[in-house]
Amino acid sequence: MSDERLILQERFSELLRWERLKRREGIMVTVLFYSLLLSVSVLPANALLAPWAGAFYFPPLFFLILAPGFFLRRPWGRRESLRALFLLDKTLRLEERAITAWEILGCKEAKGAEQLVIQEAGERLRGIDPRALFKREYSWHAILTPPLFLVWLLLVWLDMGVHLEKGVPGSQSISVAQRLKEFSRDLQERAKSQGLNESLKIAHALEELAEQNLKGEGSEKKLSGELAGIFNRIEDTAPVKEGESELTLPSTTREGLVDFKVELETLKPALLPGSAGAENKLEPEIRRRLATLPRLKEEIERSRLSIEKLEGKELHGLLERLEQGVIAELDRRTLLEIKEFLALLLEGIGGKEGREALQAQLQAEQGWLSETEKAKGKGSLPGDRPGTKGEFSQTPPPFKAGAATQLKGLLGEGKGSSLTWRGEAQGRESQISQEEILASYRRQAEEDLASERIPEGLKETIKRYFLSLGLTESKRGE
Amino acid sequence: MEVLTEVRERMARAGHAFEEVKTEISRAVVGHEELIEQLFIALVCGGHCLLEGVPGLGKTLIVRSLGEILNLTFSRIQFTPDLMPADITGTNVLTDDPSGRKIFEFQQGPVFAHIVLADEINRATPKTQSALLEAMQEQSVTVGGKAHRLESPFMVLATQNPIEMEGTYPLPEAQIDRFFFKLLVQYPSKEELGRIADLTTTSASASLRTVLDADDVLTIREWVREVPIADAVKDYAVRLVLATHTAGDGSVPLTQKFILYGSSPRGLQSLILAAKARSLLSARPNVSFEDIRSVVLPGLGHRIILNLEADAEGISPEKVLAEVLERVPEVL
Repeated sequence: MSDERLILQERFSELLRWERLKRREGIMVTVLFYSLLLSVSVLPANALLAPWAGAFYFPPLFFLILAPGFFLRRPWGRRESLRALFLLDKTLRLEERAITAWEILGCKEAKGAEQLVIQEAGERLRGIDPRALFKREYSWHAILTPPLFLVWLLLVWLDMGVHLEKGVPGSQSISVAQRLKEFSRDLQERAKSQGLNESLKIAHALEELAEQNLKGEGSEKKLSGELAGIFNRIEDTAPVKEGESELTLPSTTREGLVDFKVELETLKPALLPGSAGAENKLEPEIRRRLATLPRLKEEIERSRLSIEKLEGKELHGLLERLEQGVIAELDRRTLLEIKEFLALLLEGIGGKEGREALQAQLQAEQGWLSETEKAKGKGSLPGDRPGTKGEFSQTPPPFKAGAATQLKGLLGEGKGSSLTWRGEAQGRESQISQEEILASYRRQAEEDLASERIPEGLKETIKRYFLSLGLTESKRGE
Repeated sequence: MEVLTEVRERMARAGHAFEEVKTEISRAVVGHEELIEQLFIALVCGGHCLLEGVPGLGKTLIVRSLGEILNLTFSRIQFTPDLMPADITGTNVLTDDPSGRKIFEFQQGPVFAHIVLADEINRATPKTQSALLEAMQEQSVTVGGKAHRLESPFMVLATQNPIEMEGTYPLPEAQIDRFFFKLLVQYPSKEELGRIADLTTTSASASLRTVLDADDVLTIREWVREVPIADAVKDYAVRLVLATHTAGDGSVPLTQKFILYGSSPRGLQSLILAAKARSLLSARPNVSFEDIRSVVLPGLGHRIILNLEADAEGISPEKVLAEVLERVPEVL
């Protein structure tokens, strides 16, 4: 083999190696650019991902996905080699001697004119350095990649993650866990102060769950599943069912119950065993104090007991029972509040997932209930759910401003409620005439009738009712 | 090393011959350097040329001068409407043999020469024009069932006037395709006109000397065919030819719109052979992309047939080919 052939082969392979390397680098820079671009684009969705799938994984992930495609789409072949040699010919003005010589080198034998091509190409290419001749050129991808990388880094550093549903920064599950933690803290304080054991247990469980989630030990799905589990547990562990309480006080508001509990606690120390009040006969002081406690007095009268004849032991026992009843009722109501909170929370977590988890729990619960209740022959009774007439209180749905709210009615006797006004009413006539009040009612009724909230079929009935009010009053006046 | 020396010598001889031809012709013909180069390329490639230009531009003079300096037999046929095929090819005439018997003897026509000038070829009828078909393609003439071989080198140089169309018969496509090049004779520049005036209106007459003979031409023809061409360059020529077809790979928009028929494979042969000859005359051992590009217009211009829309819009084959050259990349 002649010297020129060897020189040419060496130069050509050096050139092609260099061009191949440059091309590989170019493809990698292009892939890196698109990986970063995609990473920046999907950064807002970061909040939807599990905690382990952080934003730092995006660029390598996209790079691994895109790189094979780019390399397979543009593999190095004969065409690429020809392009490199064409460029060499153009740059050195070899008039295609390089390309021709490269092809001739691929043949076994070279004829006279072909040998001359090799000879001339060899002479011209003897001293060239491909790396110096064809320096790296930076494409726009390469130029834009560093600033894009900085942008991505900045966005990651700023923890740019938009909550897609609510538009608040930060991860949704972390936000839910924080809310849960705050709620459980408040709940614990209240449960401790009021002695609500079941509520306290649930509060502890909720706090533990919130802590776990804040540490990043659980996914959003897991959180919603566990919340649904606690939701179900509240059903099972309710201390007293509605209506089972011994309390018959008309005041069934939470505040009323708390006041009642305060009254009980006020009197209780005087009746402790060993004290003067614990004797058979009640001290006049206790009787006097009892008279100042309206709820307790009313309750004693409801129990058909006479304060004058009441003995210390009897009163103590009654107070104990009442206190237990009040605590149980408060506990029950607190648990209902927790249930409401959890229901709202579950609806809030990823919307669909939370609702699904809640529905799954409710269905499981219903399945269990229907089996047991059907056995009792109550499976077809009306109620808020099959076979549970009157045994489960209905939690009103959350009210939303501007949105129509639908309340499901329960068949059977409804629950009563009342308001207790403290203070004495003024013994004089109303300053507003009855006509004015009726006119105001009609006006309000007309406004409501004009709105779409009232079904068309009922509008006429309502209208007639308000008109009849005026007529009845005028008849009475006559 | 001997081989290399021989090849270098060949290239030098070919280049020198071409330079001598150019110098000698320039004594009789003013300007037209590019035309003379293309004529010489066609000669060393074994092709025929169709020269097109308005009257008085020196078409006939160029061809006649070439015939003179090449030391080749030269004949001129003035094509007229009443010219018959036998007037070109020759015919069998009844004569007496030495014993006194009547025999048919073939009387050669003017086509039996190395260089044939078919002046105003489009004035003859298609029947007569087609008498040249066999001679141009097969380099033989068949008369009375007997084929008569023409001498090598054989070259037909036809001229035609593009503006005076009355009483003319456009050349059939089959015949046009057989011309290696179609060369447009351009109007001379101001300086050239002055020199023409000096040369033709004084008593000084240019006597041309012979610089090449038939053997030289045939030898150069062989050398031309030995010039190596890279596959990449060949592929470029192929893509150029395909680009002139409406349904070809990489056809350009102007082609798709204005071309009725693209170039035949003879067009590709012309491109490659002419490019080889050009590289040899440039003393380069290989064909370059530039060689191919420089022969596209004379090699393909007459081989593409434009449609009526092109005629209506005044689109010429040169314009279409210019776009083809612009659009087709040298390397894919």
